Amino acid sequence: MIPIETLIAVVVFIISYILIIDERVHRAVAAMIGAAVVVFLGIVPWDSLLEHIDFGTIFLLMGMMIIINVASKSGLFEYIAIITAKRAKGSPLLVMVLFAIVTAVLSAFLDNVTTVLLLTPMLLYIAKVMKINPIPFLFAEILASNVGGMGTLIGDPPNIMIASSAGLSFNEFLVNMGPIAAVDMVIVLIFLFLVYGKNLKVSKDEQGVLARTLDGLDEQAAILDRTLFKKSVVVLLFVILLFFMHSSIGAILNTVLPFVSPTMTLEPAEVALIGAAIILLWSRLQPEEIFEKIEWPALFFFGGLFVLVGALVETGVISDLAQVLIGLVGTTGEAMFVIAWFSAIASAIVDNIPLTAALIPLIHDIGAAGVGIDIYPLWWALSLGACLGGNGTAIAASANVVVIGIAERENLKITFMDFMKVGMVVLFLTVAVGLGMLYLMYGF
Amino acid sequence: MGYSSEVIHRKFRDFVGNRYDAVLKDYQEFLITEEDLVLPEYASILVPMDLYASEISENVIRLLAAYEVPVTLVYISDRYVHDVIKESLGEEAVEAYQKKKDELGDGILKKAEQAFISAGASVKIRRFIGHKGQDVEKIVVSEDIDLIAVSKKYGMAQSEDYHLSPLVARLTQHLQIPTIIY
Repeated sequence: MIPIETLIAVVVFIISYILIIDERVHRAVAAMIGAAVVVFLGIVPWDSLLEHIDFGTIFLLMGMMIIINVASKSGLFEYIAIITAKRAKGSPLLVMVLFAIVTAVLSAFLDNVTTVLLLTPMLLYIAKVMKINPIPFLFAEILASNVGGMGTLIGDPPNIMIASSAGLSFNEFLVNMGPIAAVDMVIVLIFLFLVYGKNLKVSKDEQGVLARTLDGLDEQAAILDRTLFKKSVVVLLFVILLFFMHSSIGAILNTVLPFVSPTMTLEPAEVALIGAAIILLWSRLQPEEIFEKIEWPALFFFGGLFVLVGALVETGVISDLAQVLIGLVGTTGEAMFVIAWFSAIASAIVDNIPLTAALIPLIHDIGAAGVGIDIYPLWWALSLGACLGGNGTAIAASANVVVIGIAERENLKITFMDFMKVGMVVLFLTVAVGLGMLYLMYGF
Repeated sequence: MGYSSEVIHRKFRDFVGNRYDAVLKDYQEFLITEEDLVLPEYASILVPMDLYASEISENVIRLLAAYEVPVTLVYISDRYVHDVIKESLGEEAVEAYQKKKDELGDGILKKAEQAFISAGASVKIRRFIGHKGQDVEKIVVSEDIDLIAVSKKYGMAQSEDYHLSPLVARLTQHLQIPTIIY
């Protein structure tokens, strides 16, 4: 007989999940309502509620939102878009490749929605000037955003959640997921070339005309505030440097400041909030102006979600599922296989954020069960599946929704099936290669 | 609209809000639009000149020649100065003054004409005594001029120290045609 609290926790989670996927109710509201129910019924008591909310994730997102909001006010990202367009020298194929690379790199350090939101208008403009179908550019941008986001701790929300819960460092992410992201990017580019290469050919004369038109764009005109532009670049570089050093900051500081403990570390969230404080002070912008641009609904969405998953933890659902999984797999390699493919396919169908939130305690429980499964490689398998699963369908990741939404506003139709035909192939190729690389790294 | 489209629509609204409109607005500030890419068609161009607007840069000449339409160079001697000299110093003085002014005007016009011809433009030149502002406006209307290119120093007195001559500022306000100020 299933206990009533367990039943309620599962039903509330499933209903909230459906509402989050359907978005008829804003996902933040759906998560908060679900959280309210489990809190109201005492399934998640107040004392443990604060333990279930991962403030590391929420503060990291908040800090990065502040930094990106200030930086985007300077015109930095439009500047990058124009420079990239000019480098393409009028070749549509180069436009696709260069923008895919720039999108992947930016997505590795910024949130994917901001990246594609700022680059898509430029791609649509270039396609209009070139009089070619922009769909290949848009597909390349989406796929690159999801692959690039996988490469770092701060690139995609699932990675932030995994790192915060498992205590993984920025460098660990870079070493484990960075090479996979790089190899998968090459695979994506080759795939796109094979599928769209012939549609992206123009004559030498046309290419010359297009290059001259794009050369006419003035990247300096994109800079809205030159001083803020320089400050944004400096702070962004400083924050990225601090991310590289956050797990060994004490040892570094100790060499010049002996009172700092060499064992001291900074959480990624602390790095983001330090960067946010610096840019707010240095930019001299009104903080109200920046704070009101923080995506509060996204933060409340995460908060509600953590409570919903907390209800599943409190009622023992997650540990039961972990036992089921342990029964199915015998080795770490098998567990990696199941987690990577399950999270990839599930993320393609349903939102990868609640999925990751639910799988994180499950992996902890597998580790706690003491059955000889090393959970360290499982985090990478989860990151791989959750991030790359986003390429599977049109609604699988936020970047997909944003780019397809913009395309629709510009009267370009990308149907669910159109996307899936490309996305699913990329999903299977990239996850298979990524998992293969993880097996090589961990000696399976 | 299918279910997936509706979901994408709703998610787009919730993820992006009005941020896309703000991004588009920023891009419109510096992206060349299709209208910008189309060279406007002009049938005739007027270039008013005087002592202070005697030099036309090579870039301006090349730009105006690119339209491949007749360019009218006009040199106007100020009638007010002419009348003051006549009233205060007499007929003989004004004739001597005008002779000097004509020589000066012819020299400026010939030099500019040569530069336009070298750039491949067809040029008409005119020189007369009149009002530097009102007569330019009259020529624009009577000769159906589409584009005017004027130096920012046109009509400026030697003692004045403006970035833009007040006469040019007035012309740009009164004329209903595109104006290039160089």
